[in-house]
Amino acid sequence: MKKTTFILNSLFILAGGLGLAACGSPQAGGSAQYIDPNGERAIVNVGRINYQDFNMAAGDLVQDLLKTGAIKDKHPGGPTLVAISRIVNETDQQFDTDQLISTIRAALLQTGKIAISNVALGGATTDQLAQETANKNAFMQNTTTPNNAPDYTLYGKIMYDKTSAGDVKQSAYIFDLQLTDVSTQTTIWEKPASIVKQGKGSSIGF
Amino acid sequence: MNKNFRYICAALLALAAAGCATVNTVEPAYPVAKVDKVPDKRIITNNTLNEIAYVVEVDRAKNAGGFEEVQVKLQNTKSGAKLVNYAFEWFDQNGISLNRDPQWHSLSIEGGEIRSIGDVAVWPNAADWRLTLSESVGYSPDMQQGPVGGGYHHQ
Repeated sequence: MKKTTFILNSLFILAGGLGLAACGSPQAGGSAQYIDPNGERAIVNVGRINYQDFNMAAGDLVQDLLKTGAIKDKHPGGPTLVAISRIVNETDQQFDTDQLISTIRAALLQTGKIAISNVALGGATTDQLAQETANKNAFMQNTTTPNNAPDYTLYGKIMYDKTSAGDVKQSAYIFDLQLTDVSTQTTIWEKPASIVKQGKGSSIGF
Repeated sequence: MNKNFRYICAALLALAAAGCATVNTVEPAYPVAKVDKVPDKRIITNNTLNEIAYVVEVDRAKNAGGFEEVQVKLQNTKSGAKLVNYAFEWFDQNGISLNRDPQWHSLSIEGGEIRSIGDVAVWPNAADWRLTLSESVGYSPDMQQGPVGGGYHHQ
């Protein structure tokens, strides 16, 4: 009788182990491995912004921007020019705000209807070599550099709020983006994308 | 012994009740919206997931920006709140993927609730799409013992 119980218990443990292994659960503390950067197996920290948070927020913002049709076709036959203004980081963390903007830039460019202006704040350029080459070509051909004034500018702010109940922590990150029509100097679109995380600690996957 | 057993049963019932939260909804009996419903093909490998994120309807439209948009209505047919993850992949006329590493999103659905998820194709040559759903491996809002790790909540 005891032997039968032992065999049955062993079988249950073995089946359970096989079941867990088959589920392909992430191996926390295991050997290093590559993961899908946009997938659902990335590390989630409650108290800080993770890589995938930028991608999720940027995706939501671009989706809404394109969905509303806020960016009009300003140059029939050519792309509408959008410049990225300042992205203000009001959180308690230091990070490169380009993590948010690069995804937005790439998505807007993929539409084929929008081009991103290299003009940056203060009349600077994001690509010095491109500007120098354009200036040199204009000088050699005795012309002027093409007018690359943007039709729209994107301004953003990243805010946060942290709270807790007992040992459960919650952090909210709000990625707010505004689109300004340069010709009218008015904000024609705004969208806050919120990422809210809750838990006792970090985890793998979401 | 009997008394303790009763206390344990009461506590378990209370915990179970706390986890069962469903929603009531009201909508027009004769909706004015004319939706372009898309016949869909489903590959179900996880029946539990199909119950917590049952695909009620699939719609598509050209949005105000002139981009292709898809909307999927999901219903949690269970009685407790659940978390699911989802991602949309888009394909061109030749069936070539336009976003091979689609962005995954997290969605919380209350018991009985219907939520709409969707995606806008940023590519002018987008023709078809595929929605992939998965059970959340992180924190679930109706976990009785409270969240163990970090997890995404309502967005």
